[in-house]
Amino acid sequence: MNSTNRVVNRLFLIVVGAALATAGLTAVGAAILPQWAHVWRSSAPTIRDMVAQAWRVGTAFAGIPHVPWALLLVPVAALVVIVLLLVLIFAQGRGGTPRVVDSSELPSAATGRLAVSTAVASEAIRRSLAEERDVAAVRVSTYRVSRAPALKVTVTPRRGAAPLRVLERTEGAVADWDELLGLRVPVFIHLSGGVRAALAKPVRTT
Amino acid sequence: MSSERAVYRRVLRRETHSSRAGAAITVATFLILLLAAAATGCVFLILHLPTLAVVQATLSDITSFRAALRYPVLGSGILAAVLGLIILMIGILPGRKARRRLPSERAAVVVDENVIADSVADRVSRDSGADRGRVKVVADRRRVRVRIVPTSGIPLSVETATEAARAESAQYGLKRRPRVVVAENGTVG
Repeated sequence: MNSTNRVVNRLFLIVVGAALATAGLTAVGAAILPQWAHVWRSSAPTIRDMVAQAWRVGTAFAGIPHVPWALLLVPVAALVVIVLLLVLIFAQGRGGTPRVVDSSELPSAATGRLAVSTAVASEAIRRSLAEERDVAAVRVSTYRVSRAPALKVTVTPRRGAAPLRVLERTEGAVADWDELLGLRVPVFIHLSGGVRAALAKPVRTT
Repeated sequence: MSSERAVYRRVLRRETHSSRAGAAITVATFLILLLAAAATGCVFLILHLPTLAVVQATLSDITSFRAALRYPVLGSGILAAVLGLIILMIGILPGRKARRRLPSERAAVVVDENVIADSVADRVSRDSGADRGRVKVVADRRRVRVRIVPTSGIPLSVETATEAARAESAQYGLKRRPRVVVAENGTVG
């Protein structure tokens, strides 16, 4: 439910994957196909001339009389791309919020401000499910979905319990919470297999 | 403001498919290391500036593509191509999570497929009398598969087991008939 930009992730993987595959296949082609190796060899003088050209164009830098521009530009460009990649990495998994209601975001014109902490929702839903022996664990969190908060309720049924009964009880707990809050917030319920589910990929029971 | 249904559609789609965050972070980290190495290499070259002649000699070694280079190029090419195709596929494939949507009046609901498998195994064991520890169930997007190892000497009805699996999995919207396999050789005890 986090706000990870999945389109960006996929485009990034597609671009990097395609570039790497193309480079790899070109290298393989050059190694096994004589025609490709010929292209490689015949373009060699051009590349050498280009590098020599670039090597000659330079400037004095940090007391060194002649430093090719290329050697100065590559690290700068690399740093810029590194910063962009760090932004990509740290943009993952955001979107959690500590408030399940914040009146300053509602369209009403009322004065004053009312905010309800996620901890209140968590406490209320846990209380409603406290007596439930079939429930092994409850986790409540809030995420922003389409610019408004939505509750995420993760329930781990105890082994041997009927999951649909646990779901019914969880929906009951959500109904209690609706009544307590007096507002309807989007709710997402996840019946989870627990840590087991994350560790063991094939769905299996013994 | 978007309607609740629209929010639920979005949440359900996102919660049943991988975000590809792990793959993106891994690839980005490797790229960062690669770029940092390139930048460091350039700084090193600036400090120990080779003459143009040396640079050209090194380049002509690579570009003339002598026979000695053939296998290193082939090897790294294959490696890069395979890695690239894997990354490309991760980017393109849907990446479905082992979860199933359930209908609900109030909320958007998903259940892990192994939770479904657990409850089917419970029901099969209860109805057929097979030992719970000897009933293995795998649930996927379409159907459940049940495998039972019976206890020697105690008869086990495949029909009862199948009906139990069918009834239980149907509750989760799995309409296809379950596949139930009873092992030919039972165990003792």
